[in-house]
Amino acid sequence: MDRTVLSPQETRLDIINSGGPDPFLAGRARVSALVKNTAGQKPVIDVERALWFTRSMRETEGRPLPLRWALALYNVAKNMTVRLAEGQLLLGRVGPPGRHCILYPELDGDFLDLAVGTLPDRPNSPADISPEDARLVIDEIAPYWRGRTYHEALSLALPEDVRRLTYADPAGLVSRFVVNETSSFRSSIQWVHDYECVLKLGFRGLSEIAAARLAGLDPLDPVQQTERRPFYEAVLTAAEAVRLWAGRHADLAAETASRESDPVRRAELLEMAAIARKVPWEPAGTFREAVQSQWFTQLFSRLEQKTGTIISNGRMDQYLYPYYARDKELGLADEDGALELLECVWAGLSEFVDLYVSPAGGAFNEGYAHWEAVTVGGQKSDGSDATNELSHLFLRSKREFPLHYPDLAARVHSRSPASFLRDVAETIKDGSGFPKLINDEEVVPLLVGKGATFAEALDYAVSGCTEARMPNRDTFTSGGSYINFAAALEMALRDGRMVKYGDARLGEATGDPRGFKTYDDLWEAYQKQHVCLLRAAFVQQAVVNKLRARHFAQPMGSLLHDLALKHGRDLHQEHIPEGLDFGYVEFIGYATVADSLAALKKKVFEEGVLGMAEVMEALDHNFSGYEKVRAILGSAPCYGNNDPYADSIAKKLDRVSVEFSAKYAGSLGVNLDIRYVPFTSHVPFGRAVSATPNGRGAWLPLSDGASASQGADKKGPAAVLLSNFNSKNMDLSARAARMINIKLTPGCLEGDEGTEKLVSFIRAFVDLKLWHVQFNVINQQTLLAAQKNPDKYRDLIVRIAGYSAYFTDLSADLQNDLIARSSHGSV
Amino acid sequence: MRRAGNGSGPGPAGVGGLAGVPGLVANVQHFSLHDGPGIRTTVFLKGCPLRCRWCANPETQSFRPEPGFDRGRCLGLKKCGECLRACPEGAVSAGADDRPDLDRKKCVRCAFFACRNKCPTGAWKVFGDLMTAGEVLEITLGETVFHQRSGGGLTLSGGEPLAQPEFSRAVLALAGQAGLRTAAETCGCADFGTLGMVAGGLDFLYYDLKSLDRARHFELTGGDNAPIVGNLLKLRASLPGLRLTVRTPVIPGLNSDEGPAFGSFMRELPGVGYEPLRYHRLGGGKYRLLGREYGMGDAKLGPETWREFLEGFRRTYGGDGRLPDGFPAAAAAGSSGEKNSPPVRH
Repeated sequence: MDRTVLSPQETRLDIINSGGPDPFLAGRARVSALVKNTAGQKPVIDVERALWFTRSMRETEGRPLPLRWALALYNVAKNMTVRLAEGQLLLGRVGPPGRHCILYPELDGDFLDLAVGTLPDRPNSPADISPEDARLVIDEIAPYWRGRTYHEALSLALPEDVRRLTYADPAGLVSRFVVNETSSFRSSIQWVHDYECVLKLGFRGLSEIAAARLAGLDPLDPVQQTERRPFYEAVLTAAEAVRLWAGRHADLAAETASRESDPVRRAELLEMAAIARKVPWEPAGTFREAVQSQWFTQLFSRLEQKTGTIISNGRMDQYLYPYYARDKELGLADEDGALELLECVWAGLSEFVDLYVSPAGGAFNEGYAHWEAVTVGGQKSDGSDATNELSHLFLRSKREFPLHYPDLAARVHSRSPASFLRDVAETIKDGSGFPKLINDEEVVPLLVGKGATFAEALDYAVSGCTEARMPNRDTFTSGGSYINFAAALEMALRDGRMVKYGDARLGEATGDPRGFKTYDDLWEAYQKQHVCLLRAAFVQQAVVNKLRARHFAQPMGSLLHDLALKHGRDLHQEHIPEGLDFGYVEFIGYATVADSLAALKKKVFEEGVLGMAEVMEALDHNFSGYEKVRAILGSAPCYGNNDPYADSIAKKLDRVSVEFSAKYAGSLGVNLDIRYVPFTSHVPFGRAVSATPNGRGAWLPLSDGASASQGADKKGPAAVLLSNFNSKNMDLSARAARMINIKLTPGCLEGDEGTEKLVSFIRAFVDLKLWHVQFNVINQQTLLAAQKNPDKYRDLIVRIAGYSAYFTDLSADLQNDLIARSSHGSV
Repeated sequence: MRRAGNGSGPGPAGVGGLAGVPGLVANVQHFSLHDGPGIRTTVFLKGCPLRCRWCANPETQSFRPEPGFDRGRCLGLKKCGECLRACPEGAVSAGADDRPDLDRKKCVRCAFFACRNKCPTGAWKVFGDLMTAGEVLEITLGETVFHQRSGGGLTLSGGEPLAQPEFSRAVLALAGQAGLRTAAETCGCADFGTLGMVAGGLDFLYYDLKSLDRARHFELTGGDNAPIVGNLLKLRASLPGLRLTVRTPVIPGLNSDEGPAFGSFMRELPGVGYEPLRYHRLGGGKYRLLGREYGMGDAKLGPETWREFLEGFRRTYGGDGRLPDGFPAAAAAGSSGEKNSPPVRH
């Protein structure tokens, strides 16, 4: 394939690599200076949050957890070094200059002392730490948490049969990569706060509501006095902490201004100080105040807890719009000024890295994964189209400013205006993977079907990778299980064992596959293993749900949530009245399993060209010397080609899972919907699975999300979408996102005509009621060149799994996986 | 029988047995972006009366199925050798580099194509599968959500759709019943009755015209251009509502000096679109698969020659300097904001 048509991203890299000036940074002096050093920089760990948090927790043992948490946050707000970045228009940061990350010892403090030794050099998402900070971790922080972390409690609480599918070691530090728990990676799954209530009421207004609730408690009611009272005291303390922290930033800005010789910068600093004295405590009045208020809130949320791969930004084009429109009307704001301010937010986002300390967490979230999703477009609560000027401005910023922050998500629906979709398509064509698309026509009915009102469902915000969050209705915060169903397949072929784990039987005894006489025998064995892993995941979740409230609290997050505030319960409590609990179970290796079953069905049990013994021998030898067997298996129908043979098997796999959830999630009192969102876990999961009958070699990545197996989709991107449609069980509702990656060459989207065809493709995606789709628009040669000369391609951004990352930050395995995905473009 | 699509059931039961009309199909292209407006399903029929030297689809020329062999995909005779054992005529023998050789004279193009059927890797392929019109339609309708949203539909290409008129007519009639928009690409080399019959079922037609010089046309394509040009003029007169675009592949050194001639010619055909196609070498690899020689050597179309062709055309065509557009109505009717820039055929 000729590399004759380049995406804008490729053009830009070519210019820079031949010594030219970066064309995208022209006219953006401020933000380019801010982001200059983030690309390719190894992040530095800052221990302050962990230190002040731990010191307070040590002093408050025995008191109610939400209150302890609030006091710890207050201690952090009071003592943490406040800093401001040269040239930044926004105040608030949680670490030193450049890329940085903070620690959450409440999650992993028990092995943090060991981890600080290995983090700088580990292959996935490494991070540096100074010797002094490392000493603090080893001598003070880790010793306190040992025996107190959630992760240790979980490891002890899991029943043995589930535990051995979860961990490979007695301490629970090494993942088995079969039924992975992720609730210990972070204290909350991806989340969106109701930022709008902060902008409108300020923390002062919210505190008044909390204070009124506190005053309204029955002084004689023992439960109210021991549970509700400390909760309200906690949220009030958290609000004071935010106020204190913002105020310290205001002081710093004013003090810096007094030393600043440049009058322009001095004026800026004084204005920043004035704004930070007002928000987020008081309601925002101007666009600038609104942006600053939101920024303080989301940053403090990061100090409060580790939200799965960074707290999301919600429907920014909606809640900021009234302020933008008003300022524009008054002549206080214009497009360029707004753009600069927003890009200061993006620059701030790009400096913060969400560190996964555990090796499994790091491997699941390669390339410093981040999903601080900014949602644009979609519908308003009344069902009308929500697109406005800011929606277009966010897209423009994404095209003009080469940064993979923020993660941009566009909500699309059947009446999305052509102008918006054209803008979306032009942005996708830029080639760095933005925006990803989330489909209202699938999401809204599912939310309503599970108990939301239409008004709530229509106002959902994209959260993180592919989730849809209703900020005042969602109340389930636990990370879910990731199931390696390729492992179930391997167990079905090996009597419950896996090559990687030797003689230990991890699954069910389903017999020697050489004895299978029909496809039904194989399917029955597979289904037993499949259900065995599903059962383990649900048991995990049952244990997790009981444990979390004893280990986690989020007083600030609870203050921003209508139901938590109304009922006086921290969001991490197991159930909150009126709340909707949406949990997930991830199906990993979908196409790998579907294609493997299709290959065996066709070639062994129908055509009889291969015997099971021959197949097993080939798998045992990882196809080495058995190329012909591999080729025969590989010639069977594959999922992703709009072929009913493979798609019907995929549909059955989905059905077994969704039916299991429909039957057993209810007994947990929550939704546990089946999802196909791997992040990057299909790579480490693949490392646990030997050769599979679809011709995939041992230890290589599994198929990703609901996409076709690498290179198996031969009939173009339309067929990939159709296979997804074909394999969904529309009659059942225990389903959520399917993540679909489509790689296109820039050549096939060339010109206005290419844009229009991409728009049509998106419209068809909406019609098919698929949840999510995202695109990489790139030439294969560019990826290969970047792998060869990483230094020249430090800026190259690619879409991974609901987020985009620097290509050169990824492991070789994941780079190869991206290169192996079929690229559609040749005609 | 091997098919590009899916399904084992019969096609949609067409009126008067249209669904059962058989045809020889070289390939079905899904998600086709460059064979007409919108996103299309393009069906390449087998067999063409012309033999253009630069033909980018040589596998569609012959009217019979023919085997092709892709050396790169072959496992080698030591590891496999299925084709050697399978061929009933002994046309496959052990060749160099551990790969099979095909004696195309011995190959009787047997109905069952044992070489292809036994080959585990797809190194052996057969260009030309018998399909019914119903089957073609079933595959196309399976992708129809994409056609509807893009103003796309079904395109018959080839090879030459007019060379299988009954099949083409049946596919187009069924498509019409199903509400699909249809297009075809033709070289115009057929009797006018056939052209009129097929064209009557179309929403638009690409009409290839390779040279206006009769002797040169014969030399380059093996065919006479008089009936081709005649058909075009007659078609214009008899089906004035059909949207029509004339296309010329611009081949360096062969017809690249005919820009002015085409400009004058098209001037007489107001309302008909014109689209010159840049010569490319993408078909070269397929000649190897078929064991044939590519007749173009290493010819390339330089940007200068291309520009000269376009300038020559504009000079004699006149107007505002833009190429005539074949889809004015499509742009007006397209609810999805379809643009009327000419497609680029690769």
